[in-house]
Amino acid sequence: MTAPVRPSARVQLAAVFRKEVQQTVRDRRIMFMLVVAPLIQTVVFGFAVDFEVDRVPTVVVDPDRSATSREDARRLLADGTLLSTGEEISAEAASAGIDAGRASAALVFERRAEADRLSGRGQEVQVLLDGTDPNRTTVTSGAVSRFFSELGERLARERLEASGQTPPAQLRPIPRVAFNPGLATAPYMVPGIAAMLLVIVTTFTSAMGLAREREMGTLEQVLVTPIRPVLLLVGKMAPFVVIGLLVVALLIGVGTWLFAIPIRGSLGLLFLGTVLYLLTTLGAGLLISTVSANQQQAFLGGFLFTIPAVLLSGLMTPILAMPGWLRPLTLLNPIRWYAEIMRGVLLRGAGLADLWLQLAVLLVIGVAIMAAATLRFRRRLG
Amino acid sequence: MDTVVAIRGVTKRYGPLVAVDGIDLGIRRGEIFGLLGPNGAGKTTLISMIAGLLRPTSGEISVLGHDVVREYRETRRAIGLVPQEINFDPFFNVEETLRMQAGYFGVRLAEERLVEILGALDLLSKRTTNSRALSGGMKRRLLIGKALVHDPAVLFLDEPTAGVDVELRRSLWSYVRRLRERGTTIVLTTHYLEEAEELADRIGVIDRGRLLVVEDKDALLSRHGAKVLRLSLARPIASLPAPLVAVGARLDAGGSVVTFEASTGDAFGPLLAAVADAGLAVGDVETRRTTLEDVFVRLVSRDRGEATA
Ligand SMILES: Nc1ncnc2c1ncn2[C@@H]1O[C@H](COP(=O)(O)OP(=O)(O)O)[C@@H](O)[C@H]1O
Ligand SMILES: [Mg+2]
Repeated sequence: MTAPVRPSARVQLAAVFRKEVQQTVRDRRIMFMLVVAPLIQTVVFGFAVDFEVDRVPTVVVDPDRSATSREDARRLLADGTLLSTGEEISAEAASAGIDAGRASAALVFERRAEADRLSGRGQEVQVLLDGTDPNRTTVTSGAVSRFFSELGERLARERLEASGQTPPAQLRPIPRVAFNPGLATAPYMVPGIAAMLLVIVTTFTSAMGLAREREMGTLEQVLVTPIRPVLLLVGKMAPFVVIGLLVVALLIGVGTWLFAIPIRGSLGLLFLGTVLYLLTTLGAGLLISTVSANQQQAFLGGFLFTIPAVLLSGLMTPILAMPGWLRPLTLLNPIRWYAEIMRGVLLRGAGLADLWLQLAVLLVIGVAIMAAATLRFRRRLG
Repeated sequence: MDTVVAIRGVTKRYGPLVAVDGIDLGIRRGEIFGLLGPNGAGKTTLISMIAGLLRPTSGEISVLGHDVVREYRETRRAIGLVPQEINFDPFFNVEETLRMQAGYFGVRLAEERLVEILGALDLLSKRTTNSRALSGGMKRRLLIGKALVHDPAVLFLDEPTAGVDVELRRSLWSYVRRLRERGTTIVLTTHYLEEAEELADRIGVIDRGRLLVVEDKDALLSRHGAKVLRLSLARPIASLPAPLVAVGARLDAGGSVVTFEASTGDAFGPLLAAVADAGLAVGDVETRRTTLEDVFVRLVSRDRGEATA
């Protein structure tokens, strides 16, 4: 028997890292779940999650059949937000059409529309809307009221001019939208989707990976060795940080190519943010696995973490729209901070000076989660 | 003989269940220690605590003078553990598995050492075979290899031959003896008595978490040992005549066998006289020495009898 050699931490770390890399690369399903699935999903979601409202199916009820009513309908439908799907004979029929899902909006003119307008008594136009999708409804009703208020203003102006008076000066706000002038949804949404997919994939991979080793009994074979828990956990996470960076690079590539997402800031900064983000998501996975006895529990734990994290990240609903008591919770949510970093770097060209807070918060959350996971892991030997 | 593993007042509770109950035990350098006990006795729990996989509820364990909880990095380097349940990493072959395990111990596995382990465990031809594709016996031998990569001072084998065929069992036994000759201390748990009898220098009998006896195997066998006399009767009888009961004989096998145990050295004379007086027709006579199994059964049943009395 030789005197035992001092264990080398470097050799231990290399062994853990190499094992994790090899078993991940050799497991086709995991590689698919890690790399290909997020890519496909980003593309699909990028196209699907399009909040621009246009071509809202609209029916017109025009019992007057006058030149003015027909002209109003034509001009309103011309701007693209509404799309005519036909005519109905009455408001009731139009309402039934909306109930049946044949249309989302109806434009109902009075029988004496033209006569009312010309007489100066005032004209009423009824708009029926399907309120199922609040965003869509708001945009549709906005388009209709904008059209008619502009029309009303024009009529008033014409009337004043006709009577020889000078109309008041026109007040017209001209918004200039910075960073995303076309107000396209994709450049805003795709970084958020990427953040969301990254958290799901990495949390589940790390939670289930460790739980699988525990279930198979191979973890015990590691625990009889003198390796420090923190070294083991760091070594297990490291390959997924590399894979995560690769996935982010791929997603950005696809995003710029398919959705014309700009890259205005430094990719180095974005990668730094990604590493810190992965520290939190992989750490959360490890923490989940330390409180799970088997893979099913780890899987459930993954859901219990990722679903609230995604819902309370501000990606789905604006943080300002959440109830007051819920809002502070989002401060602990890594997705929120990472989405801000991604959008900041890509869309606004933000630098370290703008994003240091986000980076620092991710670092603090990540270190706290890793420390908790390490402690739990050690305590687990109960 | 110095003590390699010192166990002092160790108890492990799982809720109300006391899996290991106040055990004191010292394992001596260079010995093969057999921890013998029925299923659920607490053998795996005890060695898991020594290996640092479980923490004792109370008591202390040290390996080579280091505490297994506080100085786990020192003690685990000195310990190899072959688990009771077979496990394997499905994505790695035999060589990779062994090299990885050495890596976890923080050492590089030299080629000669790798070949030596593979050769000793008859796995040389399987060097690049995926662990998944090994037979059950080969997987178990690979686990032994994993426990040896860091050349441990003490090797724990938890029921190493459970579910292993006779031939492999023999070859494992001879390998265990070779390891001991090279200076490795070996602790072997088993519920299989022949194994302890065949291999162990010293034996501890454990039941329901308590260590009933710790003794040299030979001393244990001779102290609790006895001769057993079996008389097969030509015609079965309904009950044993009173004089035979008086000398301590038993009626077995549905009335056709009379069994009598005597401590070594006791004469069978009084029994044989009583048999003749009762006029029993004896068809066959057989004597044998008690085995560890008889000792074990007696110890355990006596312990349980006291416990329930
Ligand atoms: N994790 C556990 N939780 C609860 N009870 C356990 C646990 N592990 C073992 N036990 C119980 O402890 C006792 C001793 O088990 P074990 O050490 O495996 O016995 P052996 O190895 O001698 O067959 C058994 O009654 C077993 O059911
Ligand atoms: Mg056992």
